[in-house]
Order: sequence, then C-alpha cells, then structure tokens
Amino acid sequence: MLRRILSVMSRDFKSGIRDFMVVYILIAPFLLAFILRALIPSVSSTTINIAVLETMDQDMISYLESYSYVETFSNRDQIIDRIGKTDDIYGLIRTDTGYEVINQGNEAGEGIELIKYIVNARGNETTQLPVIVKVSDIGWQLSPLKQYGANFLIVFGSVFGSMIILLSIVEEKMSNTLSAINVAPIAKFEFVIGKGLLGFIIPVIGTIGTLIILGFTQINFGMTILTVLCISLISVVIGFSIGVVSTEPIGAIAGMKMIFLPIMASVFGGIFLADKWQFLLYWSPFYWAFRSIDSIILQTANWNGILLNSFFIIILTSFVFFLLKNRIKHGLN
Amino acid sequence: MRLLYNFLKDMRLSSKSFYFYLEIGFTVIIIAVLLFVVPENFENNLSIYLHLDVDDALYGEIMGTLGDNSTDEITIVDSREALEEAMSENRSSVGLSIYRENNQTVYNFVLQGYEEEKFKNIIKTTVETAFANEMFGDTDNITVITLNQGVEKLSDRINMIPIILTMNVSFMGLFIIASYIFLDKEEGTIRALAVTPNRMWEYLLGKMGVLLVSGIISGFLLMAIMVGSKANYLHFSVLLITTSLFGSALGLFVSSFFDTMTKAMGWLFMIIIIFALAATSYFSPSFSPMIIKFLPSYPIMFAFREVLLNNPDINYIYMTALGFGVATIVLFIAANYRFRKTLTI
Repeated sequence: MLRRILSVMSRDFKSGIRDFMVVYILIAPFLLAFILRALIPSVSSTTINIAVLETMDQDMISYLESYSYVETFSNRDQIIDRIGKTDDIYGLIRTDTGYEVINQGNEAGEGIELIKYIVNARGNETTQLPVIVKVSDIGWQLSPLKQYGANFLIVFGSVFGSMIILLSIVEEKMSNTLSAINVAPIAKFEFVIGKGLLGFIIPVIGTIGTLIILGFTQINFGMTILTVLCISLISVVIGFSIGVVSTEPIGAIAGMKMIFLPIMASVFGGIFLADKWQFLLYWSPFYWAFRSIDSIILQTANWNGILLNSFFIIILTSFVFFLLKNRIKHGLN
Repeated sequence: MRLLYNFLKDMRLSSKSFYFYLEIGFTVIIIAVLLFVVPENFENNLSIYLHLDVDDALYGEIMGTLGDNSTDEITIVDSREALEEAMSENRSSVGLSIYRENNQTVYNFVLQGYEEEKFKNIIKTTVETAFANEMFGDTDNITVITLNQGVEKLSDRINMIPIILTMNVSFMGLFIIASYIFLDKEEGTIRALAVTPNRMWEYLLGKMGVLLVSGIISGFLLMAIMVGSKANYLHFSVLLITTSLFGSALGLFVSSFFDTMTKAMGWLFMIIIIFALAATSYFSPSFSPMIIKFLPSYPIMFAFREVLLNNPDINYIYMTALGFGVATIVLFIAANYRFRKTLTI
C-alpha cells in the first residue's frame, strides 16, 4: 500500500519538477523570507521623518537625526513638494521668530506634537527638572514585522502544497487520466493520500526554511511541524475540492483565490483586532494556526496550548471536509 | 471591427464559464466581510503595565492624571519583576515604573528592546519637555502650517478598499489572463487563429477586454455598496481601467516567457505576494522604504485612496493613470512581440 501511495506522490513530484512547478513552489517561501529579511533592517518602530533646508544649522540637523530621519532640500518649495507625496514626512524650517512645522494634514499619529517637544527640548537642555526620566528595556530584540511577517509567510505558505494538488488534478482531468484510477490496481483512498502527501511535505519544508532564514533557530520545531501539518490539512481538503470540480486552470485558480480571503482575514485580524473582537475569527482554522505560530515564535508556547489550537484546527477542518466530502468523492469519479 | 468581434466572442464564452461568476461571488464575499465582520474603526489601545513605588500622595496624583487622560489599557502590577513578566507575556505592551531615588521621582519607561534608539530618545525628550512645560510654562515658538486644511481621514473599514481594489481588481488579470492564453493553446484554438485574418495583438487585446469587464463589474459593485455616491466615479473609472489593463498586460508579458500555465503560475503567484507588501507602507506611511515605493501596487493603492476622498488630488490620480497607461502599452507591445514568436509554435 505504502509503495502505491509513494508512487502516486513521486509521479506528481516528477511531473512537477519537469515543468518546474514544484521547483517554483519550493523556492517561493525561501525567496519571500529573504525579501522579508532584507526589509526588516529598514523598518523602525514609530519614528518621524523630517524635511529641512540644507542651510539649517548643522548642529540642529544632527540633533534632529538623533530622533528622526532627516531629508535635506535646497528650498521651501521642494520641501512642500516632498510633504505632498504619499508617505508621512513633516517640514521644519527656521524662521525669524522660531520654527515653522509644515504638515500635509493627513498624517497618522501625533507627529506635530512630537516635533514641537523635540525642538523645544533643545532650548531646555540646561533646565533642571525635579524628576528623572529613564528609558530601559527588557531585552526582547524581535521586531513585530519579523514576528508577524514570519507568521504570515508560514500560514500563507500552507496553501503552496495544495496548489500542486489542485493543478495536478486539473491536469489529470484535462488529459482524462483521472478516470484511469478506476481501472488501476490502486484503491481510491491510496490515490488520495498519495496525491495529498506533497500538500503536507512542501509547507513543512517551506516553513523550516523560512524560520531558519529569518533566524528563528531556537524555537520548538516539533510544535511548528505539528501546527503546519494541521493547517496543511485544511489547504489540502480545499485543494482537492476545488481541483475535482474544475475542468480547466482558470476556475481552479479563481477558486484558489477564495482561500486567500480567510488567510488574510485571519492573519491581519489576529494582528490588528483588539482582544475583544478576536472571537470574530474563531471560525477560521487559519486563525488558530496563526495563534500557535505566534506563540511558537515568541517562545511562549507550551504543548497544551499547541495541542488545543491543533484540536480546533482539526475540528474545523473536519467540518469543512464533511461539507465537501460528497463533492470530492463525486469529482474523483 | 475584428477586435470588437474577438472581444464579443470572448465575452460570450466567458459569460458561460464558472470563473466569471466566481470572481463576482468573491467580491460579494469581500463586501459581506467588510460590512458584517470588519468594525468601522479598529481600537488601537496600547497595553501599559504600571508599577508605582511612591508615597500615597504621589500615587493618588498619578492615578488621578492617568484616570482623566488615558484611553489606553493600564494594568497596575505589584513589583518591577511582575512588570517585566507581564511585558514578556504581551510583546506589544510597554511598561512604566515610577519610584523614588535620591529624593527625586524617577519615571522609568520600560520598552521591549526591539525599538530603535531614535524612538527611545523621542520618549525621553517628550516626557522631559512635558514636565518642563508644566513647570515653567509652554515656551513654544513654533508655528504649524497645514497644507490641506480640513483634510478628510477615512474610516478604517473604507481605508481597506484601495487594497482590495488593487490586489483583487487591478491585478485580477495578472493570474487569469495566463490561464486564458494557455487554455486556448492546449485546446488548439491558437493554431486555428493562425489561419484566420486575426492578428496576435487583436487576440491578446480581446482577452484583456474580458478581464477589464470582469474588473469593472467587481470594482463598481464594491464601490457602489461600500462607498455609494461619495466617490468620484469618473476618476475611479479612469484609474480602474488603466490599472486593470496594466495588470493584464503584465500577466501577458510574464506568461510569454513560459509555455504552460503551471510553469507561469509560480512566478505570477510570487509577483502578487511581493506586490501585496505595499500594503505595509499603505497602513504605516512613515515606513516607506524605496524598495516598496518601486512596486507598482504602491502608487495604485494611494491613487485609489485619493478617489475616496472628498477633495482628491486629481493630479496624482491622473498621473498614476497616465503612468500605468504608458507602462501598459510598453508591456503589451513586448508581450505581443514575444507571443508572435512563441504562441503558435
């Protein structure tokens, strides 16, 4: 039985390698992880961008650079043009009576107040305050972009494997080879398992690669693999259900897009929604995977929590499978 | 005339396909999620853990000030160790430890550790200046000039629409057009084309037209329900048409380097994920590295946002549309050149 399952898988793998599909899908998470790693150093926590004139006192520019990113321009009009662009940047120009702060009006946050405080502080440097203000930290170096970016890549990467399943089924349907399994010496469940295996193996490889590229080498890989296997299960079920009803790649790809929505909603909702709104995402298995991966990356995960989240993923996946069971069965006939 | 015939024929065939309705169904689901799941505005409260080791009078004063002014979630903890432990459990939180040392009150802001030095300097300086202003009065000699008075800020829900329009409507063709072309190739329709008076560019343009119609239906459906009459539909149409054609032309150009759908799909999928990165700068405009500004999705998202405003920057919208119009022509010519050599082989 195992030999037959492996031969179905290796046939798909060989076919995928021949037209480079498997290669691309294997490379994709690694490439995305490298892009994310390249982006991370340029991402700052909340700071401000300030545009100043080249003629501004050099000491003042150095002073501002200790608080913000400073860009210099040769005249006021250039500063105003720069402020008008899409990103958030404030203008700061010396006047006879003090300073002029120029903003566009649609900036996020309290940039103007911060600039006022920073500029005024320069005049108060010698002022003795009755309080001492200190800033310290608890030594946690992981930036939120890296934390959530890695999580997004892992959860999103779980569909990569199911894309191979989906396309290989559509290809078989187009070349009428799918019906051949009815007369081949292989049970239908062996065929399904064989076809589905790549849908588990590829996300696991992608996840481990992503985590290593991003420097998460100290995390618990056992918990990670369990979570990825669970989340791959839902992708594989959806991959099968779309594949068996699609007669050509257009429908398959458009159907695959449907899966992007719950993934995006789960990850971005998990990041941005306040705790009291998180219950809105409990229906999504991707949300539970997001939570597991988050705790694994933060190294706060324990087996009880991971098993509980995995249990939710399996239950929700079983529900989806129950809904789609007849459709898959019928499609394979 | 032949072009129109091609387009109408493709439209007729597409309107019978499952895909055409799936795309519209997908838009309906997005609308439902926006209306019933996404709140109008997200509450973005900061979690603050506070440890106070001060006398009762100062304790009361601090608590009074916090109670009056703060909209953040403040949790009082018993000790510095408890503060650090609580922060370790919640990595998006900050801490504040207030205690007495050498007859002075120390305000120790405790961060996680990933924050930049510039950010730490901002916190220290702004708090010190706030104290100085409190004691010696505000010595402000700064004038604020706002270039666009009364500028409108979109709700969080509406603010998501440009991202959906960019990724799901403008770049819809990126994926789908390759499927159309390779399906025709596998079914032998392309070979039949070689013996008709149709030229390659007419065939390709016909396919782009189908995706444009699909994009227009999805885009207008989304805008009509979510934004209603508030948006300027002339600006919207110009932007939607040019960017949608750009997405299809880019899809054609990329797929012209491959001979099957499966080979092209990996790269097309990667391109769409990379384009989605522009959403990070869209939501946090102070973070806009050059690498993201070069992505075509970046100006498209901001141009769609302008369309939603009461006083849009018309220059920006039309310059974006013009830029993508020109890019579409260049990509289309290049794709046509490549497909003429490869598609009928």
